Amino acid sequence: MTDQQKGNIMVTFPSQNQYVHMITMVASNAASIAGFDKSVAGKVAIATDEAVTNVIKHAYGGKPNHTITFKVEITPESLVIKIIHTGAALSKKSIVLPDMKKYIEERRRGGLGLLIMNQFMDEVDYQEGKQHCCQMTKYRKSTKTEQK
Amino acid sequence: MAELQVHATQKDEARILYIDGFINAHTVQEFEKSVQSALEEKNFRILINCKDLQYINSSGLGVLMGVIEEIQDNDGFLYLSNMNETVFNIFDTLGFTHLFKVFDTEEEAISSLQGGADSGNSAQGEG
Repeated sequence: MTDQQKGNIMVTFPSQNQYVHMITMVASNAASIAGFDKSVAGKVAIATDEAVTNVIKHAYGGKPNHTITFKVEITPESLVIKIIHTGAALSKKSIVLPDMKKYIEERRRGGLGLLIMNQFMDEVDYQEGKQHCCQMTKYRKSTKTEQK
Repeated sequence: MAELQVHATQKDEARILYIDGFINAHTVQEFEKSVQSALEEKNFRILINCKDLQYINSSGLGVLMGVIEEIQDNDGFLYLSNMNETVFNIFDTLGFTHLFKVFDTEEEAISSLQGGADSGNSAQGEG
């Protein structure tokens, strides 16, 4: 752990899908700077894509004239991603993650975003307030077994 | 340059789609259009070469889930090849490698069509 592996990044951008890739790349690069390998950086990127896309689609109902604030905190222990918005809050109680065996058997479509975020990050939390926040954490000593 | 480009060719009775870029909510329509175009032309044998695919999110997976039944009902297949690690991880983590056959290379996928060794789902990502 060096001083170069600590830092904060903040980007505010419009609630439009065309900006999501840019944010995804920032998240991936931040993970690399924090010292995570390419595989983990890719997972952080996908989880970020899903989280931001959810905010645009569900919290803001696809309306393009709102703003989203994306924050990354690189700490000695972890990488913390925060997606902050003022749209509709996601209630933790309402979250039901799909059973993938049934999902595939029944050829379902959609509804995988939250599952991907949970699978690819160590912690995913939703905080409600004046502003709402989806906070995702990847620990250096991950609680999840990393594949290649 | 477009954020997603799809180039289609025909090889050994299979439609091969070369995906260049990333598939997310912003680009998924272009991807869906290319897959639907193959189905409209009664091409139910589809190989997606992911060599230049940076990543795919849940909206892209939704496109594949939306067409797999029609493909299987028409005795076709949907194979994928040349996945990088990020793309492979998402398919593998969600269990989609049990539904879509994944090959390390396009040649291996084509070979399996010609009755060669079936090495599908041996891929672990190209890094």
